Amino acid sequence: MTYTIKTEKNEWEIVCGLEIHCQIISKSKIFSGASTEFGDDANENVSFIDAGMPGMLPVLNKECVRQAVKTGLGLNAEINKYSVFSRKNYFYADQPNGYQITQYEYPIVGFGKVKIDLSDGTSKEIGITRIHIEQDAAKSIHDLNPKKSYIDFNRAGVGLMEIVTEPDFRSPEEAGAFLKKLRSIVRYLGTCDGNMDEGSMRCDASISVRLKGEAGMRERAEVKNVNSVKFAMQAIENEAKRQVEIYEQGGTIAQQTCRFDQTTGQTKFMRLKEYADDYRYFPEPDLPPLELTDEYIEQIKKEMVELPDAKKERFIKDFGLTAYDADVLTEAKETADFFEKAAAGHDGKKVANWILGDLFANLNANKLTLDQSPVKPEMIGELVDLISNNTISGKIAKDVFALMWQTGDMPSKIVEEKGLKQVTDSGAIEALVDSVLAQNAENLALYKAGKTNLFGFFVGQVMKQSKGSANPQMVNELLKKKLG
Amino acid sequence: MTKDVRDSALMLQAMAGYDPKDSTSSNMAVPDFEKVLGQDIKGLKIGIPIEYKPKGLNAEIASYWDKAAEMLKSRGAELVEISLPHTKYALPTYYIIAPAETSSNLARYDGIRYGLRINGEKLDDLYINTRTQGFGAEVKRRIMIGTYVLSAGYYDAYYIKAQKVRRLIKEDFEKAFEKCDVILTPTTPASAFEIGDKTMNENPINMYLNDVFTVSVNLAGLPAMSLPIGLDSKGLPLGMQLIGRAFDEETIFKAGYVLEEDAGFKRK
Repeated sequence: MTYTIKTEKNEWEIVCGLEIHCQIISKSKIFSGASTEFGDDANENVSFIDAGMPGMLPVLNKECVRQAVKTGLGLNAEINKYSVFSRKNYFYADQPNGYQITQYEYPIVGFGKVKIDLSDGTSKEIGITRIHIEQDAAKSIHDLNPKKSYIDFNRAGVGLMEIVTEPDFRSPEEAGAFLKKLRSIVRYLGTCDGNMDEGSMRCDASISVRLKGEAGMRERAEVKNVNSVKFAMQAIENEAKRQVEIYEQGGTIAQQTCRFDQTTGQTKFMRLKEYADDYRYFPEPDLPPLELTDEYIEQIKKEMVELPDAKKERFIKDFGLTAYDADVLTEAKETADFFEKAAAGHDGKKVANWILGDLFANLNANKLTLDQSPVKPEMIGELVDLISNNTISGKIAKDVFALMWQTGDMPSKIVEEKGLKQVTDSGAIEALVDSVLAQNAENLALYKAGKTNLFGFFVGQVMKQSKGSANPQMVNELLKKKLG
Repeated sequence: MTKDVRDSALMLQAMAGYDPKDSTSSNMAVPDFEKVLGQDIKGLKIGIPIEYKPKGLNAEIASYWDKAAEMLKSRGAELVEISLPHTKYALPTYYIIAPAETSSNLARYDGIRYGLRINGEKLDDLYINTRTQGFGAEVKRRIMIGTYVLSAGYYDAYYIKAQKVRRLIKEDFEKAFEKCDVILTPTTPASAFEIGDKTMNENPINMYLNDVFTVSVNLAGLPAMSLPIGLDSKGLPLGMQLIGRAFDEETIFKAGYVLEEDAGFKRK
């Protein structure tokens, strides 16, 4: 789908790349033994290293390295067996050492690619430029005191993966689809919890525009810290429009940094890049280069879980799901696991329908997550079987599901207790049909006189007398036979 | 650090070894340094670097150096001429790399969390006030040099170049140690200057020049020992330096102990 910004004079195209900071899931920080627990009291989890005390030295957390390698493999990227830590020097109160330990020239993960699926049914590949690992800064709190700022060092030294993409995005939708895909992948891998609202995944977008068909790229603006998928899409759309407006009024764009205003959805100019700090990167003398072996990387490869793309394909192939259903079911690993459990030994397509339909509707209405659901996977599998073997009708199944939701009981138990079993005994149904015809002699006469649309009336009467338990198909057939 | 070679061996014994909290430390077994003291040095090859004898070298120093070499020779060691051609670049190389690290290492003294704090209008003022008052002239000088050599546009010309030269200096030593077991040089080109010496204050490069024989060892990452050998005409002590192969402190202690015995240096 080609996305452009059309004005009276021109048609403009967006060129956008993303930088995503993902907090690494690890028990302790990347260079110290302090806990990474989110939400503890301020300055609770701070070691001497995190506070930048004199003489303290960083020691690399192996788990953070593993997580980065895993993420790299998940993004189909090259793992660099040799990488180097560097210091990025700048003064700020949230940076206790006066420098951030990061990776610069030699990142741990090199080029990779991620497939995104778009709403028009097409797919696109987004290039990953690199992933490097680094330490997070402390958190500055400016709104507690009009004259002072407070600093919470709990976050200082938490491991981060910075994932940088190629400028491959041509629309807000593509960027949104990528962020969702990336979030889904890191959650599958258990390398980042992907909670953008808690700041464990943070996104900066580099945006420029150019005339459709124009070669090369124009100067870009970097929009900092957009903390939801929706905001990222808004920021890209509005920043692109802002740039188009400037160009069309005869202005120019210089490389710059912008801020995203959540309340208005607009981007605002912050500063020009030419005044940006000179970070004076140089190799971190306190840490030797990081060297990984082939065996180490192979071992991690073996431990990789099935990722959303592969799972989606398998669901389509094995269960006959539509691409859309498979997409929704595989976005979160919990949902995919729930589905697979429910579908094991049952009709997967029907199981999917129940999950995506009644189950999701009930979860949403009650604001529950999947693991809080009173309806368990095996209950859905059984329900689907009860329908396919004609124990209950599809209509009754809806009622059974509602009762499953209320009671948490297995559908077979509900059907048994409530006497909802479908009557498939033709003798019993025939008796009902006969009694209905006998009770409605007048209508029967009218029917025989040619008012054949009364057929539905008779079906309804039989179903009503059976309290919905008669097999509707059998009722139809028997009535047809009797009415001639 | 210590008064004699034995104390130095004991001290290193206590300090050396793997430290899991220091990622730059080596995980190697630590030998018994004291055991080698008094062992004979017959056949030990003592390297004498030709480049360390510049024309203007202080005559007293040159004479002590020859004496020290003779002492080792008389105990059965063999003197070997070696070449360390890149030593002449050691000083500028060191005074690029060390200040670069210094400028970054000292950034944590910002007045925010500990130590001296001189408040100011804005955050930057707090930094400027605190660091202006807290650091002395030489420290500030090195921070400025270090910041400069790491800056965009100068990094390649200074820092990267210096790292390349550092590699050449290291390779010089590797080649030299193919011919000898330990290297003997003076520790400094002159005896200690006076406290408050004006020529040093006016031109700090004069002061840096005193490091000419020692910085190459730091750059090459080698162990070395300085020990007093005698007094100059002003009555100030002069030192000799023994440089060993990487992780070969034992040979340094062995040769140093012999030198200490034969020089018979007495503290006043």
